Amino acid sequence: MKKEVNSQIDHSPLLSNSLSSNLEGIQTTLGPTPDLKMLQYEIRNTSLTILYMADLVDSDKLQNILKSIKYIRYAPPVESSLFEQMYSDIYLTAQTAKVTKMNDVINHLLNGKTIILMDSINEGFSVDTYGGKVRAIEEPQTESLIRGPKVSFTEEIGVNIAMIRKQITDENLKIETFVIGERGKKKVALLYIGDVINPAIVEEARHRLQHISIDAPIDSGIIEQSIEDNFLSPFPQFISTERPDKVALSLLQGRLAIIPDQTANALIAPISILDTVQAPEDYYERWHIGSLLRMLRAFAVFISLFLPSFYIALVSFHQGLIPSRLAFSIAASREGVPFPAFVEALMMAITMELLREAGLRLPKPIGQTIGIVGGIVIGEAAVQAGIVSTVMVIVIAITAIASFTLPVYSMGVTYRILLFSFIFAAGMMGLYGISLAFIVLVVHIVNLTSLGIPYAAPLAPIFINDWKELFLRLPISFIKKRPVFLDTVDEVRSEKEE
Amino acid sequence: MSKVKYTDRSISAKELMYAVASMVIGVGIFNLPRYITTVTNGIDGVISILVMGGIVLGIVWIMGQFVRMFPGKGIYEILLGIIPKPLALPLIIIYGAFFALLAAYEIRAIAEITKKYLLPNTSSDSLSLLFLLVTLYALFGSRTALIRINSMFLPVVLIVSLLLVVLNIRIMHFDNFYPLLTTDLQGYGSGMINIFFSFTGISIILSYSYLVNEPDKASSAAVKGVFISIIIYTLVFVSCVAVFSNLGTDFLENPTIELGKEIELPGGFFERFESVYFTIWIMTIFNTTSMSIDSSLVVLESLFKKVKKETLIVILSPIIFFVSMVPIGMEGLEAMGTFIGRLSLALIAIVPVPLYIIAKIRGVKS
Repeated sequence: MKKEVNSQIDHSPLLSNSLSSNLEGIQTTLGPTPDLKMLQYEIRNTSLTILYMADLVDSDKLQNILKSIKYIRYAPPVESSLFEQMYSDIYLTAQTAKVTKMNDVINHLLNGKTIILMDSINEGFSVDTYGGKVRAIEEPQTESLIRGPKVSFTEEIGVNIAMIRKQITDENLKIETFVIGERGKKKVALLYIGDVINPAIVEEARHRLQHISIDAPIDSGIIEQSIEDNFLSPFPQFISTERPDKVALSLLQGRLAIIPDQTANALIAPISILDTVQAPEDYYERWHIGSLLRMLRAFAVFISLFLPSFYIALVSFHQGLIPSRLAFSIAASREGVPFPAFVEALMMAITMELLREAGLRLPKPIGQTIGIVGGIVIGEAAVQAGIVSTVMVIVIAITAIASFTLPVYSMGVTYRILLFSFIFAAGMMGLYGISLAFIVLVVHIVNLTSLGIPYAAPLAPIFINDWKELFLRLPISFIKKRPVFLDTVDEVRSEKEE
Repeated sequence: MSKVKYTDRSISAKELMYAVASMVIGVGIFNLPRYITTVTNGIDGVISILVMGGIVLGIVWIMGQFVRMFPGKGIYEILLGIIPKPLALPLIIIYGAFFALLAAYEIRAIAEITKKYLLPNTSSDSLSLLFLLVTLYALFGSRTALIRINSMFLPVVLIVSLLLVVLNIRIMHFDNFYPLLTTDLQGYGSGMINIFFSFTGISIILSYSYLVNEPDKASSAAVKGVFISIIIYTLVFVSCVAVFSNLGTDFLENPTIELGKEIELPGGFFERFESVYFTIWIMTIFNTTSMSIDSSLVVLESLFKKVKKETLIVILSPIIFFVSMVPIGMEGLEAMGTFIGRLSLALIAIVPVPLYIIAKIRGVKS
């Protein structure tokens, strides 16, 4: 299935009978460009030109075309015309199509196809020779794992789809392709399991993909932002992942995946807030480990959101809540610190963010410097200089570590943003402020949707059955049903009785 | 076009149950034990709670029947279906005004209690204004979401309430229950009247009647919701009496919160549980307040069909805020609470019964 988006009425000129004028037309359209290659041949008194863009084509595939031309050149003449003979010959080895319009010729050239034009025929044909240098399949870099398939997506859409196909060899794995972008037309694949996912979700995604109007979808993130439900929300409404196994698991749950070309990430939707704490590895390890890790991550979410603000609230507003022994040691560590806890926390949290960002930007060999600078400056010097208290250093450090445990990077960033709002709330109104901020957060999450599905799904609206996979991960034999909140067509994962 | 089952605007019976439960358990629980111990002896108040609870279950069942009789209809349409317009119109206006008043009370109460337990140096009007703003944020969102928030907060609130009881077991003195059954009938009666205030929220089922997608289950869902609150009330009352004794409870302004003060959490991170308890309780009060204002909005929307919800919110919220500022001090607030309690007794406990009888006599069918 192929759908042309933004199709306009085509006024482009047709190919003419004269080869030289055709070539001239192509050259004027593309301008003087070094990577347009033209090979001239003369077969049975017909001049023939092969055009392709260097480095966009796969040299093996190109060789195949050249070989068949060579063969035809020396083979005894047959009844059919040279054009037909070549077409049918090449057709056997590669995806081939006839082109009659100048625009198509240019488009195909720019998409890595090889065009063969002949004199005195007003059509040519294009052979799919798409290729060029591609990155090999590597281990996941940003979502590393201990146990599980160690492959990650590459930039090639075909390779990426094949990776999913290898995991799910079901005939109902449907792949729809869209072409998106005005100047950088790119293929975007929509993957889902036809008889599992709720058709309404697919319809919604299809509708949104068809109405994207952008220059060029350079990365999956641009597509994500063009089709998300709420652009004001700090929460991502799609999960971006570089792991095919994660996509496969999500497809089986009744979600869909969007795989754009030329980006190493796939998007998964609809998602819910609980995907924050869920990682595919939970299903690979035995259920005790999976469950414990999930609970640990849920705890980490709370720490990464609330710990600094809670500390501020206790120290600045509700000292009475701290048991006296603990209060003494906190007071001792704050001795001589000139700032209120709120300012102290803000300084440390911002420093933490700076370190994190610097660590990301620095080239790997000098990346360690940041660790040393951060460790010494924050851990030692700031405390010794009496600018921050040791307890605050511990609090911020634990918060940072907790936010690293989350399996979805973009969610982790969300929590880091929210952390600051909680710090402000606590700095102004103590526990009351935290409570109100939390209520606002919950109201926001409950109102949010991902592809039309409520973001807080198994919690509000409540689906008790999905709680088996909420913070726990019960044994595989217990979770026979696909998530209820996705309202799947095929509700049961496996119908075989044991 | 196909749809994902639950993404339309309706609410299921289960969601109605959560809404009723968290609407009922509101500010009322803080003072509930005191309201009862002032008029009863020993543990006798339990009888008041249970009897009143039973009556409330009956009323809420009747309300559920209205929903069943008029599926998909709003409260004003239900009223019009039973009684003529000259009667229905004033009734619905009182109903709407009542919920605005209740919201004003809740907003003021939360501010006063926050001031008392958490932020003694902050003025109560800024506290209540902030709370109102948070409520408005929820009101500007979708109504279904507003109702669904309950199912996120209610489990937390229930767990914390149970903790409040369980962690106090060590210091409970069961001698405090005696003497048994020494209260006179009048005492039980006024106890019942006093606690009805804590059950005011039940009529939420009528406000949201038009959203319920399983009208047949409305009665049982609402009954279950009220049942949860009766259990919580009973547990809290019993533990208050067991910990403070009847007389002690009488002297405490917010005995339920004070219950938290006695708790010492193991681990040595927190000393006074009551602030944590109250902080979490803010969530349930938020639910109650937002649904109260929303009930008023439902009434206003049914009266002024052409006005947008946002406009109504902007008009209504300052009024609620100013009303909440009217009572002077804790005594004024207490008086306001008593007034609301009496009004709710008339409006919510008594009115539905004749309405139900009229509906039955006139043979209204679903």
